[in-house]
Amino acid sequence: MTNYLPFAQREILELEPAEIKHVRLSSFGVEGSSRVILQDLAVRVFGFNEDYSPDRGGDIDPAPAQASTDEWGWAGGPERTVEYVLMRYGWDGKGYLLEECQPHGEFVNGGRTLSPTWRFIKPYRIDPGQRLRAHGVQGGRAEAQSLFPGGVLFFGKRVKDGRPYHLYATHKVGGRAEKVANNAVLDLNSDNLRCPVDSPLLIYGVSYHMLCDINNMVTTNSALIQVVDPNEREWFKLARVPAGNVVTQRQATEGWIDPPVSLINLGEERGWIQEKDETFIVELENPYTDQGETVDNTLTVSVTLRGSVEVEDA
Amino acid sequence: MGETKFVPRWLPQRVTIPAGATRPLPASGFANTELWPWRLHWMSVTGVPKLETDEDPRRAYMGGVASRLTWQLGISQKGDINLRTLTTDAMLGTAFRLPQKADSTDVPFRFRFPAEVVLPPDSGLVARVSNTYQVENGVIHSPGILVNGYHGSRGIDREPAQLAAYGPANLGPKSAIPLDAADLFNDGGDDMLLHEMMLTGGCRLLSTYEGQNGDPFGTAAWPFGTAHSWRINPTTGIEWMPDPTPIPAGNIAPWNRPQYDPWNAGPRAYVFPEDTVLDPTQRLSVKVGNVDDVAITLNVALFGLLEVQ
Repeated sequence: MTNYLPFAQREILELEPAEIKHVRLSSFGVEGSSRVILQDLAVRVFGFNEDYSPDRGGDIDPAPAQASTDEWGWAGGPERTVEYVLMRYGWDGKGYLLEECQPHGEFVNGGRTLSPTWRFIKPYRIDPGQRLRAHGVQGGRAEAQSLFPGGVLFFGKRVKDGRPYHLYATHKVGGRAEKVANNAVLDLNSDNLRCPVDSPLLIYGVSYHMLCDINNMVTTNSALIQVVDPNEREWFKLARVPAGNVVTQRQATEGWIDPPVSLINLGEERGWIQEKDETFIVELENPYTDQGETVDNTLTVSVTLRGSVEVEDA
Repeated sequence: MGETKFVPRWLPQRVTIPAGATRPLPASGFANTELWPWRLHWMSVTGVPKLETDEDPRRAYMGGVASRLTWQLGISQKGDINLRTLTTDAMLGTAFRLPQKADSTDVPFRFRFPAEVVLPPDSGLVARVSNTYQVENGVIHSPGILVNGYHGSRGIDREPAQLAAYGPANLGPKSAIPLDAADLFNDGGDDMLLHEMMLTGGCRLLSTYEGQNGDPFGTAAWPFGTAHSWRINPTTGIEWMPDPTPIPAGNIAPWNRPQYDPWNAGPRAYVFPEDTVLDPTQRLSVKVGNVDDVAITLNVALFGLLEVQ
């Protein structure tokens, strides 16, 4: 019987001015998999201000001395004149769809998600007795300590009668007083993540809820939710991070269930199906030709690919 | 009867309606001058905000289309479509299509073709983008176009294909550039079926315009539906945009909402009832009433598919 295993894979890279790099995203090697359906792509260029402003909970350095705050509360100071990366994509060995890289914003044909939900392109089946596991890894600065996964929910239906059925787990907390250190691992395991014995379930999507302290920015201190399927396969995978430990917690952990940028829809209907030996490849190019006088024109870019691996059960 | 091919067709008009007046749009503007029926899909409108300072700051910021206009539509020889005069929000504020939010960082104006449009091999698109940003000295950066489509028929044989071009530089006020046609060419071995088209007026708009407190707005980005205008045509066959006037992106692709639109410049769009067809020689008549006490300038565009036999 055919099943579809959801996956999200992220690669984070640093691009020096005029540098071109390639990202290979190959989903997962799953024995017996026949095809991979690519669902969508999220490309995020991390903003200069986001990283350096203490107003936004930045976690690298304090803001430069000349920074100011404008009427919207955004930190000012030196800023890149444009913030984008050039890109194109295709399949390794089969070529890119375009001859030249284009600004990444041009590719965006999907809106931003309005709820923290990832709807799978194909339903994922879980069999009676099997269980999912989930946990969260707290991100953010060490002293932030206040945003942690509240719960995770998989919405689906029972195969035997078509009735809606949810699998879920909640992290029980003692209110605001309970702080969570960064890098702390929080279990989200529960018997409610187990498929009932009387029928397989078709899971159509996953959503989560974060408990948030008003004093801390959701975008900078979010926790990474991880889901592990009955075969110990992690749904979210951080493929590679640049050397030098320059990646912030946020860059690594921010939403793969609800990416904070608008999506580039791929999908079966548009022909984005690849055989198991094919690799999706993205080329990224820094449009700057040199470093600025006051601004670091090195770009940090994250690329997140989501989709479903088609597998045949034994 | 041969196979029907769909050719997108946009016709633009720019009109100024005096204060308190009702004016018909020029009769020739929305006429079907082709030999084939033109199936109408929507009529879009964008306003032209005046952003230079004025005595009354609220007046200076006028130019919206939301509430101070009334509309009447009818097809020649067939009578009215709408029986009542309606305001913009009542008739063109159709909420049943959720617009995509266009912003300067990562979301362009998206246009989805109502039917797949065929681009034969060895033909392409010619695109010309104009900076029609109303802000004084308003510059747009790296405007671009990207078209998604496929080679092959539906299903598993379908191969994704893209056409794209952008101008990798600032585009100054009131200037225009043709975009490099090499990457807008279908050099595949077979037809390319066009599915959607994305128009971006810049990755970030750079503006020297000063806010009311004298501070520069800096990189605050306002991708108005009217900041960048386009003329896009295939290199062979029937033109999509026969009028030489560039059409604002918001009028080409009205199902987008700029991230920041305090002037209600739109776009808004009226969706025609299904099977509204302009036969050859017929025209759409549009009357616009301005209930404000100042003149209002509008961009109005009519979009439909020519059904070419």
